[in-house]
Amino acid sequence: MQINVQKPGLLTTIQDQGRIGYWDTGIPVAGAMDKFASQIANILVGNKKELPVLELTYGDVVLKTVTDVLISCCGDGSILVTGGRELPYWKSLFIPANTELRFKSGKTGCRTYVSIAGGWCAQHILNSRSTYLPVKIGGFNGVALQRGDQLQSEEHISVISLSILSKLASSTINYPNWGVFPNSFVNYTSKQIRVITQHEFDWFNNDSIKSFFKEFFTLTMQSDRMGYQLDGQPLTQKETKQLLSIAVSMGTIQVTSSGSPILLMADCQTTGGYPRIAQVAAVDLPVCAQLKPGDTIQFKKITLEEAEKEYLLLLSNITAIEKTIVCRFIKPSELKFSK
Amino acid sequence: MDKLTNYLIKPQSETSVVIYFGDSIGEAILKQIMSLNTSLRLSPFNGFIESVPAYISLTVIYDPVKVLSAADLKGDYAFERVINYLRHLPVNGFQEICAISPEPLVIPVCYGGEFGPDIEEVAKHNNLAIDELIHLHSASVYTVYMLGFMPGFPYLGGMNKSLATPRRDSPRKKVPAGTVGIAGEQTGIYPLQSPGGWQLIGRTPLKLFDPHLSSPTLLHAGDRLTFSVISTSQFLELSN
Repeated sequence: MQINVQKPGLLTTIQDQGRIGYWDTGIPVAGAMDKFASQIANILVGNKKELPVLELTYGDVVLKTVTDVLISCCGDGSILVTGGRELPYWKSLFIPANTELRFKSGKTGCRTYVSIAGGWCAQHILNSRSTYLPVKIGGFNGVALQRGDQLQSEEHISVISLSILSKLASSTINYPNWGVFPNSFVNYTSKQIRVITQHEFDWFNNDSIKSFFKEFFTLTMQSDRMGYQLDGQPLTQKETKQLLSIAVSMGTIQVTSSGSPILLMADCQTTGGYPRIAQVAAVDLPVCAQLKPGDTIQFKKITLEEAEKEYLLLLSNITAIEKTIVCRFIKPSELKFSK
Repeated sequence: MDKLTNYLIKPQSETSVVIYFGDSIGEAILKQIMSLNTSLRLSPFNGFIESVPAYISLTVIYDPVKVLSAADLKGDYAFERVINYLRHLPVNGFQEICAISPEPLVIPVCYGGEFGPDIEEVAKHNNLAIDELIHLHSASVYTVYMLGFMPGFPYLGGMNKSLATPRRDSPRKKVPAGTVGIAGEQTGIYPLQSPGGWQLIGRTPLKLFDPHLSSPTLLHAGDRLTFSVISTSQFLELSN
């Protein structure tokens, strides 16, 4: 399967679930910002959920199918229009060859994930296919997609992908009358982000801790895949203490010496030296991935026990969705052969 | 043999816990961190993903689903199970074999000139002749405490304090890969071209980071290194 890029948009890169195993060498994990949307996009075309997908930032992207394709679009950064008609997100989509896919801005979120049956062909380097721009590795030649790029899918596709394809294949665009309803699993519409307190939480004075949980914080223009600089009530330490650099991760909220919080995201450095006030609950990271400059959020404290429970629930829901898709598209008799 | 009961182990997220070994940078703590890291990697628990040594800490990354499905780990929550496991690992078991490499790695550096545009500034700040500065910088043996900040960037300990110089007032937009610099009481090497505010004193032709190698970084936590002085022509020769 092949799709050509006619308009690459602001920033379109190939991402998988991240570069695991190199944290201690300083190589950022990278990977899809919205892990939930990227995994569901894969599941809906019969892929393993770790396969590489396209990550679109807003709309203004035009792709053209060269062959018939089985794709899925998940996320909240755009709407997909083709031939004057809007196509649904969070569903399996069969698109015939020579169809122009126009992604337009105008949704409330920021990022859209486009999967293809078999996964996108991409550079596999240091255990991942994720694009990491500063070092130009992974993805499509290590860089963001450009006009004229020809994107191929891997030749091998799963039995489930084949089955979905055989049920949807047609001379026109085709999709099932059901899909995944993302808001049942992730609080995408919530502006309240759940956090657990981090190890330097006690370094901040009472007023700062109060305002951290009471006030609203706005994403500034200095917000990208590395992290979001947040604008709000400055947070001050009881006494100025220096943190000895330590591992940080996506979701860590560190506070700079000027008192403004930075929420670290997928491309963040592996270690940091600013005190960490809180850590976003993993279950709310997909919500953060859809935030854009100007958006306003509030932090809500939960316990680590609650955070772990919620995260495990999300993971088991993703597995349940995976099983449901298999049941929808494959008869039990077919499953025996595929084993 | 010491077990981890005396150390502070704190959960950090749904997928990580941190072991704190003390509160200040030093070789004794580094040895303990490297030793425990070796123990952990030789006998990982079910669900262990990776570990990240830093100045005084070791962060342990895990998959909570696998941790909870492991029959031999005790606790209601994944983080409890990981903490319980870590408490029973020997801390000092591997100090002799793994801790710090005895022979320092030699990093050739061409000091001054276009490779080290701030060398005069650093010399002036510390009332040193340039030759003295180069001697002091290359005579020390440095310890790599951790990697971070950017791929392959070593946090080095061991610089002679009489070389300490504050960062530049305005950072440079482009510092070439291999540049050796000083910031405060620290010295370091830029593995990649990047913006930077360090005082630049020289450059090494060695590659500190190559993503196409299976071991992509030249240095690792626990390594020792020293700098050797090379000329511009030697630099060019070694670059090829």
